[in-house]
Amino acid sequence: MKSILGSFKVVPDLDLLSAEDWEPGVDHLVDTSFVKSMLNVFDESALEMMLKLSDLGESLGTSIKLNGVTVGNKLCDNYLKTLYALGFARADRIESDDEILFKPERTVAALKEYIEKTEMPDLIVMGSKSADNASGCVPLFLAEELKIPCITAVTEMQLLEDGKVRVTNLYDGGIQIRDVQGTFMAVIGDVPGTYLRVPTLKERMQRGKKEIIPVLLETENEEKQKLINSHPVIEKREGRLVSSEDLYPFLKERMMKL
Amino acid sequence: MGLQREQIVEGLVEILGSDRVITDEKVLKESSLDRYRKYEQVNEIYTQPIPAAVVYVESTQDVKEVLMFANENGINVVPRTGQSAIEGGLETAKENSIVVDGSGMNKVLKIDKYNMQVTVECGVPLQGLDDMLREQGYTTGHSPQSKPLAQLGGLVATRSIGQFSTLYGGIEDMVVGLEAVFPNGEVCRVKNIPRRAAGPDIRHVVIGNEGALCYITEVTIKIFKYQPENNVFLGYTIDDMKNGFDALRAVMVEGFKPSIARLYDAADASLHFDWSGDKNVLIFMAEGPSGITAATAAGIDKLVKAFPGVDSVDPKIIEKWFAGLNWGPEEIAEEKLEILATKNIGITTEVSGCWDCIYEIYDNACKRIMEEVPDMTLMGGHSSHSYINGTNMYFVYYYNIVDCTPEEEINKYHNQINRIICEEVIKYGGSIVHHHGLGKARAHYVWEEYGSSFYILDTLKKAFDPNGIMNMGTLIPIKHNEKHPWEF
Repeated sequence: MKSILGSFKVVPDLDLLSAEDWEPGVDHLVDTSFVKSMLNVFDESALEMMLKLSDLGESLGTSIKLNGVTVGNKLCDNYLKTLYALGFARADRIESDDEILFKPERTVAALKEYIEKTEMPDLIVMGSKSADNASGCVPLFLAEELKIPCITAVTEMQLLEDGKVRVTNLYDGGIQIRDVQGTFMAVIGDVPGTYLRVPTLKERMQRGKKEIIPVLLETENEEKQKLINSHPVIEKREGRLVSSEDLYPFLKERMMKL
Repeated sequence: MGLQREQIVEGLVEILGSDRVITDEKVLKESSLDRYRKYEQVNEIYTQPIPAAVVYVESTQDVKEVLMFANENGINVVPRTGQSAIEGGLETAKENSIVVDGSGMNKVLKIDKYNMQVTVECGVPLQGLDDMLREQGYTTGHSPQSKPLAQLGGLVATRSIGQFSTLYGGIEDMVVGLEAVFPNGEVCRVKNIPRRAAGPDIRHVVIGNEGALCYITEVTIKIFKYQPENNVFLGYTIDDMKNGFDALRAVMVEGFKPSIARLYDAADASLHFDWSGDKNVLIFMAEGPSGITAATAAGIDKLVKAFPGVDSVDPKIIEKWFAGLNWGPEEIAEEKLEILATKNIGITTEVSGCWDCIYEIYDNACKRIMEEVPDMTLMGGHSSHSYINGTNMYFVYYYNIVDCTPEEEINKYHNQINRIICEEVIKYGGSIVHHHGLGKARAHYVWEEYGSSFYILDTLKKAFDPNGIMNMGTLIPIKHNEKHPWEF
């Protein structure tokens, strides 16, 4: 294991929206422009997992290069600088001022081109979905495009002495543990209580001042899908209040239907 | 020879009945500290003496009987209501203390809309009271960040202040009357009047006593018309922090009365906003009748824009951000998980100073902390309460806890940071405490804070609590290391 690439997304902190803010606006989307951003929680778990693998590698005498990449605008730069401060060798932003919500194929194309232009890592780590677009498609599509195996719902990874990675993931209601060799994609699932560690001010001064130069790609951003509407999914039990007088006719009617 | 633990519990059960005397070990441990020892708290490590019991009082008579029992037997009493204290005020510093919880005294006794005042028992939650008043077109005007947790007794006991203080004042400006019980069982009521000149203002013996002189059982506070439809928000970035303080000063000195006047430095602003970058942030809100809010906002806008390096921010961003600023139980639970996972902790310390020294206090303290304390991950702060002669500074700091146990953390990090802040404040003649109370941690600097006026505080303590049973260690330390006051 020589290098790991973590792809992450910066999303609005939806917890900061009040009930009245949840109103569809332009393009049927909720306006989140005024709330603070945050690392997508699944990606945050993924990035911390990368750092833990690197720590393990160090204890085994293996140096693992950590790289991070995101697709977005200048808003992402602080998060990239944090990765530098935490010891990442490279932290890139693929420039995108366009709205990429609900367009996973565009993100996949951008990431594929980025990997081809930089280097193919031994492991790609991504969160399973993001708070603002829970399509869950990007890691699966990207693995398919790159023709590498993909393990979903990963909750833990350990580096073994022989260079393999012991991957724990949720599978069909159970837990699956396997030792993996060769390049693969790990899609990080729900790992409660994981947070990205915090660099010190000294680390920020030493390593986190690096200027973020956006990566410009040639990917043809052809629009294949367009959001035309959005509405809340109402989830409630089917039920009907029946008075004691109506109970017998009601049950009889149901029996007849059966 | 004092009473044994079992005898204390027996005596309390005799007064209150067994249902209201709690001796469950987990409850007792959790009641031995507050959020000053946040790292110990999240790790469930308890270094303070465990109290003999937590008792739930439901009336002034209950409080009176419990205090008299404690006074006769020399048992330390720690009064509490909403448990949102963060300066050690709720620590049980002596063995076999009694924690007297007033959260059950939660009746709103009278809403007097004609005289614009409301009378409540000490355990009335501020959030519930203010929500109820707002539904009727009124407000307390008191809105601290702890609003979802805090209750009226504790707010008065700690000289709390709210986010709209520049217009409505601190709690001391709102309290018009109160009732308090002293350790000897004396129940004193200070009547509700607009003002009087009948000797010293004795409300101020009670307001801010931090449970070290008496137990507050009832308070009457002012209410105000609630007119949110007229609110106007203003936001700016400003390049230079010193200019930011000068802009705040100009607003106050020129006679404007915004309800909010805040200045965030770049580090603190980065915790709240994406758009501020490496700039400082100024925020104002004008509140009240529409003619006044419009004129206030226009006047402040003109004044602030005259300062160099100022850019306006969309007011909607400020309005939306402000609506989500308060802290409740959910945020505290989330924070606990984060601290345990990252070993990174965030703490605040609030001080005040006159306009001629507040920048130096802020700047020197930040520089020294970054140089002298290891593992800092963020050092910054904001001013959130301004006056004609000065303002406060709310230091906000985060650090990683490295190579030390939960028991060691307090002396390695938190107390060191507090020490530097207190030293800088005292050097410049400011106050080491703006609105959280002295508690037990900063009590170690009480002599420097009070100077020659310590005589008055000391005399009050000796007069009202001669047996030393009221929240001992708060305001005045029990044990004090003169050479290293920050180690305790």
